[in-house]
Amino acid sequence: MKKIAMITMVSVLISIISFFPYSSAFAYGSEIMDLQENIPFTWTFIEEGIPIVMASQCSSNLFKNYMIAGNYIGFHECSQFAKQDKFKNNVLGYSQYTYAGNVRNYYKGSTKIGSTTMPRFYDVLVSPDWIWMAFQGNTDGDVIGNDSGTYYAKSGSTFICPEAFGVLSHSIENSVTMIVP
Amino acid sequence: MKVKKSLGIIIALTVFIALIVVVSGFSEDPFTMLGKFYMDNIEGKTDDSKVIAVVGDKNITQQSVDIYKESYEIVGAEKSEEEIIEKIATDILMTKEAEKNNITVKDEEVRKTIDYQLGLMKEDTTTYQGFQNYLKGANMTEEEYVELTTPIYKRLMMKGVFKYKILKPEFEKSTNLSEEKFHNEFEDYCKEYEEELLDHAQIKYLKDDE
Repeated sequence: MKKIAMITMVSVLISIISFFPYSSAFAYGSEIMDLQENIPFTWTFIEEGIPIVMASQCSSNLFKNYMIAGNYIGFHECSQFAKQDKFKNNVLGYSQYTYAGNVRNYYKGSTKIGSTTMPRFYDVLVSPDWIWMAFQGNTDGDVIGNDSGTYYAKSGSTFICPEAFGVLSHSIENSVTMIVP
Repeated sequence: MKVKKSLGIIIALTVFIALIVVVSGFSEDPFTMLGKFYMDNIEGKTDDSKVIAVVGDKNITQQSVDIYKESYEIVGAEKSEEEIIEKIATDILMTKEAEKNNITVKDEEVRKTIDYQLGLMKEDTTTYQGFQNYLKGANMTEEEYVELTTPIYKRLMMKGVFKYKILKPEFEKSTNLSEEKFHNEFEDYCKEYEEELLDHAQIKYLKDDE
């Protein structure tokens, strides 16, 4: 009987914690995007007690490249190019959101063999309505492998908008596999 | 004994499931709550509350501050009354600056912008679901939402156009930054501009204790 009482109490507690009304606000905290181009997403703001939406888009491109140079046989260089995140030409006058961080890791099989940071550059006005804020990362000629095998690059970038509510951050992840024969 | 134990477990599980069903009925997402908040506190309400601050010829009322405060709380954000007054005052001041510089935004441009924002939002399933919940909570149609938010979008657009037509060229003249640094620095410049506006605005606080 004690066990039943305990199970019931634990159940009650779990229910209350899981479904507390404000929990949904936190559940909205982050959203992971799949590998795609021009993914629309939305920031929501509060104005005069009413939610206002501002659309945005993000993209991620990872390119694989290797070359055979001199006596090297097989993998010589891996370069990645990632172009991510653009925002509407500030049509609503909000301060733009902040770039929160990125990860670029390189693997051979399941072993991590390197990583790189992504210096930011601005690719101005790809279209009249959008400014692209782009991030570019590559191995800068570093040899991260020179033999056959399966190489794997994984990227992830997160953007936050402190003024927004609901979805406070958007992340975009990407990966590419390269088989060097 | 075994039957008793099984029966106990079944009862406990039933209670658990019942609780989930009952409690989840009360758990609402922030959009639904904001919608209901609109129904209860904004729709059709006249603002005859106390004026607590004056910015130029514009009054900031207790009700307008409370609406911000409570709606922020719904989405889990805590803002003090002072911060909210500053936000409203900055909005008033930026709109005035835009007007002083003859910035205008036509209604059809506002409509086009709202349609564009909502159109793209519909491809973002998470927010779109939230938006639908808001409409349901507020018992309004999308068209009613557009009507309701048109003056707000208009104000925001005036601010946006002011920043890009007036502040951006001013900033460009004063700096020789690389493209890489320009956008972040410009955002800082806009923020400082707003802060300076607020500093020089002489907001009159009319609260009893001030």
